[in-house]
Amino acid sequence: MFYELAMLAINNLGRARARLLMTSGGVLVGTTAVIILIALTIGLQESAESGFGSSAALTEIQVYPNYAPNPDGSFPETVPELTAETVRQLWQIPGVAAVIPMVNLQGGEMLAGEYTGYTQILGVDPTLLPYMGLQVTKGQLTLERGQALIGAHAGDYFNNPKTSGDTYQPVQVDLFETPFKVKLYQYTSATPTERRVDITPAGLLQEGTSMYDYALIVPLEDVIRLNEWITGQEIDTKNFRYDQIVVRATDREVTLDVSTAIRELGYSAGGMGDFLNQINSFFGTMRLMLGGVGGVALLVAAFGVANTMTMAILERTKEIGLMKAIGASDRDILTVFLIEAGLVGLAGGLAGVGLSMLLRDAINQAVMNSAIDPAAGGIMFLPINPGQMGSGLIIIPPELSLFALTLATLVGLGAGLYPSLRAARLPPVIALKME
Amino acid sequence: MIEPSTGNGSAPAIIVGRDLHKIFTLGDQQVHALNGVNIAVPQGQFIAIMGPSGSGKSTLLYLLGGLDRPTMGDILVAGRYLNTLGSEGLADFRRATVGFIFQAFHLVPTLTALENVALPGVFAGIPRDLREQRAIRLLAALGMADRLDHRPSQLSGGQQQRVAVARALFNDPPIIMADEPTGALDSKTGQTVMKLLRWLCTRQGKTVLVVTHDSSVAGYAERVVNLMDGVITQDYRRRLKQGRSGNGIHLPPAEKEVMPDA
Ligand SMILES: Nc1ncnc2c1ncn2[C@@H]1O[C@H](COP(=O)(O)OP(=O)(O)OP(=O)(O)O)[C@@H](O)[C@H]1O
Ligand SMILES: [Mg+2]
Repeated sequence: MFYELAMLAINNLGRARARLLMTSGGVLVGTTAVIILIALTIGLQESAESGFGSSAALTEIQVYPNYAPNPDGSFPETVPELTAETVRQLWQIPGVAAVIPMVNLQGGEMLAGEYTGYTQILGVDPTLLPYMGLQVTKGQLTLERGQALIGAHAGDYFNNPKTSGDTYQPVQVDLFETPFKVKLYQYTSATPTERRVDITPAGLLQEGTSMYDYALIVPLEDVIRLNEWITGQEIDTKNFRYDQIVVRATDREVTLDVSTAIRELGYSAGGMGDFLNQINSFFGTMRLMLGGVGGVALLVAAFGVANTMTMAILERTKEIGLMKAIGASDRDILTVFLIEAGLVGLAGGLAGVGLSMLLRDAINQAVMNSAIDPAAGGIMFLPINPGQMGSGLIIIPPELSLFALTLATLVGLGAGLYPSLRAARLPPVIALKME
Repeated sequence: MIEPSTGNGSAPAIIVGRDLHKIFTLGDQQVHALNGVNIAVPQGQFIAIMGPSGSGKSTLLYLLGGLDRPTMGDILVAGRYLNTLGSEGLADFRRATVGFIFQAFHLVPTLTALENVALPGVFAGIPRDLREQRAIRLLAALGMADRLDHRPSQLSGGQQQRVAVARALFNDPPIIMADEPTGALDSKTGQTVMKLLRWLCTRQGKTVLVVTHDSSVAGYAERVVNLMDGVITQDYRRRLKQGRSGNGIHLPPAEKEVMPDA
């Protein structure tokens, strides 16, 4: 039945081809505007994101006790601390792939030959290493007591205290190859006791896992023992507190949700993934705005469709009356005209998707050309280097095409609804008598 | 209330209209198109509705056919009170009960003769091949076998009206209603169409209502109702002239094929 009515509708579409073309043309322009503008924000976002290091860093959330003041400016009396219980709570958040509690070494002046430098030293349970998203460029991803994994830039800001004087001259030290010690002080007596600890490199970490780039990772046990020596107090294992916890989300999409859940537990949470989500939300807003601009074009097209359908119905009023006289129900008439309107939208949408793809290829080619030869094109206002863009300035994912097609069809249906309803409700006699 | 005369003592009435009023409102002006019409049509009767222009003939026909609703009064057709039916119910009623024929044919210009005849089948949900078979048989019976794929603009007036008759017969309705079916045809072609309607009444038992102001057309009817200013002024039966009973009419190609067997 629906098929038969659809055939009638298609037959009707063949009547006023010029008008059909112009109406669909309006939808075409609107659809193309929506697609290209949204595709532009996708392209810009992808090139912006490509500057954000490895995906491992994007799923990392750093969790600290929340020392921030309350919204009213007062400071909270008790701040939830990072305990073994916290670790358990964090594991229970959906979307969490790993929870890595850490303790900082309280001090960290390093001696490498004649150079000194300061580096954050993080104590981590070595059994958690495989879950930290780490990779080594030299050595091995393992930790024994007395060993360390060296961050890719951990040796970047060393200097020679004897020669540098007033001017600080950073020197790059290869901590993987150069033997080094960590200098510690115990402040329990009037004169601090000094102690130097030898550390053997186990592996050199790959660059890009941003939060470890400037750090050393050592076994948790070592840090606890050294901290005990520094403070002169034994660690209270019952009330043990971590300095920070790194939570890794299963993937980028859930990172923000996990961060939010952590904040709701009363902790502070941050990280690259979070930052990226802010960027995402910026592009989301931009997409809405530009999509809205395209939507206006589509809205104009909707008036075209409504006008065409109204005209078609006026012209065919007698026919509507006739169809009712031979047994068509109101719903039959409504269906025929709605299908017609929907098809006008769909046709415009299909053409719009085609045109958008042509435009995408042309624009991306022009951008690439201008990247090769800046004199050739005038696209220098772009905030990005086109040469660095993998997939181009305009990116049309299949979902976008599908969305635009659906939207165009819905616009047709929506615009056709009122005229079609009017046609369907027309009393048959009035319709038959219409001149 | 007076029981309307059927003009035919024996057969049960298939159409009954009681105290029908129809008032059209045009701005602040009211037009009384019907002023209390009582009519009953027995099954199988061929009735002509006559009267001067503007007397309310078409209005009456459309009310009885369920194309419009009376301002006042009851209509009972084939056992159904039309004022109890909603718009879907009326659509069902028209589809099953009444075949309409119009002066201006009202064929769909973009459809072929075959598709026009089969159109009621679309709304009745009849499968395509059955629809086409039936339409071909009807058109063939009306001598249009070689015009199946012609569009209305490629057919003469008489041919178009035959397509319209075939369409009215498509769902095999018990009642045929025709509003000036010969009005747009020359007298010879008009005679052919009238003979066809007469034949449908006599041989197929259809109840036929024809609105006309041509008395030669009314000559095919066994009962004539005269309307004047929305009231029935005359209602009489008469004997058919020789050759108009329908018995002597031979339709091309074979009578028995006219009606679909479904
Ligand atoms: N939709 C309408 N709105 C207003 N008045 C109408 C309408 N339809 C019919 N009329 C009026 O109702 C009266 C009867 O009209 P109707 O069409 O039934 O006449 P008729 O007998 O069929 O005339 P004709 O022989 O010219 O076709 C006329 O006065 C006409 O003007
Ligand atoms: Mg009339």
